[in-house]
Amino acid sequence: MHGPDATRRELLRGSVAATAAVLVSTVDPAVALGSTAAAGGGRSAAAAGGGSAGAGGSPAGDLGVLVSLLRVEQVVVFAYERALASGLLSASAQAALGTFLDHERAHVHALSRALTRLGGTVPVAPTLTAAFESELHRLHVKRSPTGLDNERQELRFLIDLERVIARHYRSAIARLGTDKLLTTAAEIMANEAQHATALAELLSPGNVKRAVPTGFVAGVGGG
Amino acid sequence: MVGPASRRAFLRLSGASLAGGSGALLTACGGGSGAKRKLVAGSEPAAVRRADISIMNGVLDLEHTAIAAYTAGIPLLTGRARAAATRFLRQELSHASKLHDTIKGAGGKPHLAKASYDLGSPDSETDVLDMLRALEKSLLSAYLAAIPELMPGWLRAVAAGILANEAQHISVLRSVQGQRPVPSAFVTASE
Repeated sequence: MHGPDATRRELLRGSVAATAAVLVSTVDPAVALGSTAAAGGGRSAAAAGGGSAGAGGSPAGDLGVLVSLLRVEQVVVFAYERALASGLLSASAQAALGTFLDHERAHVHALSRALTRLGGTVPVAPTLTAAFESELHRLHVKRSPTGLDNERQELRFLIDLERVIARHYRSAIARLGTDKLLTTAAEIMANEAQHATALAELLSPGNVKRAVPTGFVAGVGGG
Repeated sequence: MVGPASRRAFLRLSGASLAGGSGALLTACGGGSGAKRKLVAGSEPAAVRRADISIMNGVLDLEHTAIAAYTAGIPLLTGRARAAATRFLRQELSHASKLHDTIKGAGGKPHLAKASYDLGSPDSETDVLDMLRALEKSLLSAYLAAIPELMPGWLRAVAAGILANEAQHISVLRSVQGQRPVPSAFVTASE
């Protein structure tokens, strides 16, 4: 007997196999992507609508995970705002960080909307440095933002923070139960990883080893 | 001068060479020392289902294709693009190795690389970079589709870690081509 989950998995297997077949026959981007495009245009899966429970999860169990992710995103927003206001950044770094701050705010927006849909309450964002530093401590961010006095230090702090954030998303993805939340979390985690890469490129231009240090973002082991 | 036909033959040959060699490379990269393998295995519950094996074999097929493409394309690249592609090839090999070991560890039969891949006829650095980006996009799409379907827990986490790495590859490839490295707040198959 095939339930909805089994049927969806069969479809997925077919989709992945079809993608592989297309790629083997041609690498024309238009053809290769024609049957596989997910939510596009920078719009998150969660923003696209509600969600069904994924393999083994429940929407109710996602509330706590969402609150945790939102608190993390609020810390990142504070960190970028703080760096942008520091007066220590070059024009190119200022432009990049401005874009990344917009991304982080989009993440907060998408997660807040998803949380509200589930009946949860959006946590209060830190507005004072003391609260920000307390949250950093809670997240086990080793590098302190106190006393940063040049662009390189600011970038190093943000790279560390982005990597910690990616670990939180990785852990959340292991626990979330709703399909669309899972997809959104994965889309955001990948974006945070790209931020870390782009920040590392600003810090050490052309050094791909620093920009993409490992094949497994946030580790290869379990959980 | 290498014409399109001979270049295509070259790419096929490179893919075949890679396919033949990747088994050895995968074995060499596959989890490192015995102690490391034991540690990783110890942190991963054995709750891998038949459906998970099938999904992982689907993305493994794409990883094999990406490995063939990077292997064939690297000789046509120069400078920063070549350095990046060389690093990314190593990382794709580590993804394939992880998937291979996971499938095998769960009692499944990992798909092997094909003897050859028809990768088209790129005849410039731009063509090669476009080809690599197209493959990376397909990997993004496949991992994004796979994550909600995999068993909750470490298997999803591993897939998410690989997805994020593929997103970093695209970011660097975009940068090499003079484009904004991070164009959107949400990484989708459209980059």
